[in-house]
Amino acid sequence: MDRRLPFGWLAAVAVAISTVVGLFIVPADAAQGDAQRIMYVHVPSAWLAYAAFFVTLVGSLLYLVRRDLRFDRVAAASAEIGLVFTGLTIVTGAIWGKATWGKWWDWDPRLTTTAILFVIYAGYLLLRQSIVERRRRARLAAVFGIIGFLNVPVVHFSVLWWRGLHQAPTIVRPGDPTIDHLLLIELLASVVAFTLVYVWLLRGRIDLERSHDDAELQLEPAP
Amino acid sequence: MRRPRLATLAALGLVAAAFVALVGITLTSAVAYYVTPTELAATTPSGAIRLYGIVEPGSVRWNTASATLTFRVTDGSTTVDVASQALPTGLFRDGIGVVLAGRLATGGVFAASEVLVKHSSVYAPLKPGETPPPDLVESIRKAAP
Repeated sequence: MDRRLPFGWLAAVAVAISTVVGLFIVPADAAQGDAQRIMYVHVPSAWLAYAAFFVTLVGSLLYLVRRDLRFDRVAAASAEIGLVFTGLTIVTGAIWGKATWGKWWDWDPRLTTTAILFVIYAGYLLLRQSIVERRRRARLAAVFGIIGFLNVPVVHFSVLWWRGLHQAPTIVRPGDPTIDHLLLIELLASVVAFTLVYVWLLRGRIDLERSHDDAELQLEPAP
Repeated sequence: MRRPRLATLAALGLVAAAFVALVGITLTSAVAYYVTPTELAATTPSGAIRLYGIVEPGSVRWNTASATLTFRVTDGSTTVDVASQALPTGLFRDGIGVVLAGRLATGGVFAASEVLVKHSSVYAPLKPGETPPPDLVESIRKAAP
């Protein structure tokens, strides 16, 4: 019997609430109309992707210091979920872009660096797949997981450093968030919901990785 | 000894190639995404470029016969005439920023093949009694035969 917090249920309830509030209760933005509501999926996806890759960074650093495979499993699991959130960010961004800019995709700095982010962590997971020896896989992946994170601040600040189509930050910026407080509350509620989804997925993925390791290490000859 | 699958290594190679290509795009076109009207006037480029400016209030016209949208964009100091047969989204209006893809045609008119509306990062609902701004593109569609 799993006596840990039921994150799956908490996540389902939070997602249901933020969906109903986001679609039917908070008013739409005056300029963009209903198209703006996709923000409640797009922005949390992007933030959780950043957060997931940060967890991969921390797990990688801890692995290199402690040489404990537990940290490697956290890093790997988080990178996988981060990749899914990055994909979701790109897809919802394309839909939002088509409705407001008039185009699904353009080679703007924010969009291009986000595509790079996706490719970096796809590479991270493929690198793991390509190394058979367990400790060597953990070591090289940790180095990759640390260097790969360098792109995350580039993605975030790309809208400030370079000219582009994507708008500048609304919340994570100097000064007050430039968003109506009702909309901000719903945005933060959706971030909470996405965080619960992340924690739920992470926990399940780490469990799976552990069983995989247990099976794999039994097959390998003792050092 | 077990070896990694060939498909994994091939995918890794593909991802590495995509990474190099995307970094190339970032360092060339993405960081020089658009020029301003003032920069356009100073350089008069011949190839395809992107131009960013604010739609000058009152400058938007629709020519039904040629199905062409004309307007002016400005950066505050320089103003450029724009002609486009591509219609922007409903967010297009006086005073909004637009990214235009196209080229400088004869007579200093910027021929845009694409009018992308750059929306702001300010979000707020309509205030009580406020009405949404008029949808220029919708009225153009209605005027079209």
